[in-house]
Amino acid sequence: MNTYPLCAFENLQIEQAGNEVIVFDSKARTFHLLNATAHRILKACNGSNTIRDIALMLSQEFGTDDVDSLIADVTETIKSFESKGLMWFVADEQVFPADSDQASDSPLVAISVTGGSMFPVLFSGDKVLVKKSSLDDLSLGDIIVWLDHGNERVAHRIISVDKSSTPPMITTKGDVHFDPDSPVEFNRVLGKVVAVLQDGEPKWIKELGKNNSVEQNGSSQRAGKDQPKRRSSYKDLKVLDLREVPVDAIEGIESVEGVSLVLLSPENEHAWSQVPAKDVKSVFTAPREYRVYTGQPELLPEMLEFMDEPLRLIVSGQLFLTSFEPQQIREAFRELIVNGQVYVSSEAAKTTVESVAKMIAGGISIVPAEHARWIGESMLGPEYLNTTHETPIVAIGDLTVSERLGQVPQSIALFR
Amino acid sequence: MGTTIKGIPILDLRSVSVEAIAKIDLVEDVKTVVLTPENVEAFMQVPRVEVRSHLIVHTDETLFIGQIEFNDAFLDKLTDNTKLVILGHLMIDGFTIPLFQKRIQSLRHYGQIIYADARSVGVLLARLERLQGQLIRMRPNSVRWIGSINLNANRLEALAGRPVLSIGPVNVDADLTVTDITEGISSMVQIGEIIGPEEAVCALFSVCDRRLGTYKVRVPETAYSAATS
Repeated sequence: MNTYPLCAFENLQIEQAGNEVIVFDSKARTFHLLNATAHRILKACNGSNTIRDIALMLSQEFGTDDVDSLIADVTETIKSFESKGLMWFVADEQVFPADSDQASDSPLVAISVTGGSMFPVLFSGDKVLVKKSSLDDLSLGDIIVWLDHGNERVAHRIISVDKSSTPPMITTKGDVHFDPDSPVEFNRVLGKVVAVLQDGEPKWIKELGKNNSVEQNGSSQRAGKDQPKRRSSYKDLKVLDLREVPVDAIEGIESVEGVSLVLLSPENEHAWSQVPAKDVKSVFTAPREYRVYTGQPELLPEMLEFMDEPLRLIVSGQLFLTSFEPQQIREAFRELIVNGQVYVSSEAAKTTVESVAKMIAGGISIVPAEHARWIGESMLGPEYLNTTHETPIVAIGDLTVSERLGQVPQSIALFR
Repeated sequence: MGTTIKGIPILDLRSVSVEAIAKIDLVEDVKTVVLTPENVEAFMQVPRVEVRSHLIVHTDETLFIGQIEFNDAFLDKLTDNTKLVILGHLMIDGFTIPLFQKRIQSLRHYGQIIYADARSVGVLLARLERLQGQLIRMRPNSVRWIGSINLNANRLEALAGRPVLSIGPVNVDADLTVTDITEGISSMVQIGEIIGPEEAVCALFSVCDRRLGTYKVRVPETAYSAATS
């Protein structure tokens, strides 16, 4: 089994003092004085290099071929660091799960992660450093690695801990997911993620439950954090759907202007308050169970027979329910939010829609159930009188009546 | 110097790395940008002008771009429990409901759904997590006119009384009369622009059950010549 020394940078402040380096351990509140070589070794202990790798590095820098002596020196120096509490060791991931007891001998185990469920904290291909933890060590917001029933490792964030059940149950969720994972028994938890190796460097994870930040040496190392962000603006949109956008990205929005509807998720809604917004008509937080339709959807009663439960629907645009009877509306919808108009075909249907709607911004119109529907730019001419249709027309948008027609005759029922 | 991307309807950046996205200077006049959870944050930091929407496609989702006849033949090509994302129009005359339920776990759709069979759309809606577009009813067995269409006597004759679903601009031939149009087309759903003489435009409107788009009245050629001579 390979082990890789890792400097416990998380708690250390390092300052140059002449030819030597002062290391302040903020956790133990102690100072250590290192010479330049010891400091070089400390820096090379990044969780990716073996002792031999570090010795080879030094042999090149010092121009010596006596690698064996250097290995002995590096080993001794690292033992010294370990005795001072400055050093952890990272074990290869194969120690999990076959020999999980052995893992306790090594404070950290490196495990590769795949997938994007923890974006932007973890990237596919990262190695996370996992520390075996007791139940009391785990807190809401920690990222843990647990084994699913297919023995696949899952790295997700804790959203609840039930210590009263036997065995204790932990519930996690991927940061980009809406839904939590099924609760997992504590004995399937391999440990807590304390750092992530990205590009061969450890990045320590602190207080992930609060701000999703990944920090190294006390300063933020995430892409874009140290450099001024190129910020983005949104203007003149019907819908700005930010439900899947990470908190950091929302905080980076410079301005939002002239947007009819902004959609947020429960996970990122708190970030919206920091966004400069002007002429934003509505902002909704829409959990997963809300369906969102934009445009001019027309629903029919027979469409809804396959729904598992009544709809919780957000519509930005015009919603056509002209084929619905009042009772069918009651059965079909649990909640209705419409950032636009609703069209029904009777006064009773209108009353029922009002009773299930949390908000209808554009009002409810009564139009015939059967009608021609023209959306956008339309033109009505005398040719309409010559067709056999002569059905009522619902026109949404700009309707031009041809001069050849003059006044719209009473035989054409026009709803604009 | 970085890259400027301008004037394309769909910009698919799914296979583009975070590093490559960071080198983009500007994205302008793009209808939809397709991203992954891995590169969305990098794209959010790219200056953008007139980018109408962005679509994040997860690794376990399958994306189709374009107009799709959503029928059994299409469903047969999918694996079971597919999480489907569609960017484009769906045309639905009907499909086998148990086959749909086997193949489709969830669906996000950005475009119009034009349907003839309400039950098929019902089962689709039950698994539809997101719809950005219209739900438009068409008559069963409609002839498809997809893309830019020149509407002339031959095309009308080929209809043989069947209704029409037209997606794309329709340019009405100057030789067609109002009667040709109103008697040649029994019913029409049209998405796009109608271009022609005013009478022809109004005649085409008069046979449209559902219509979404704009129109442009074309001045007859003779009048135009006279006016410019």
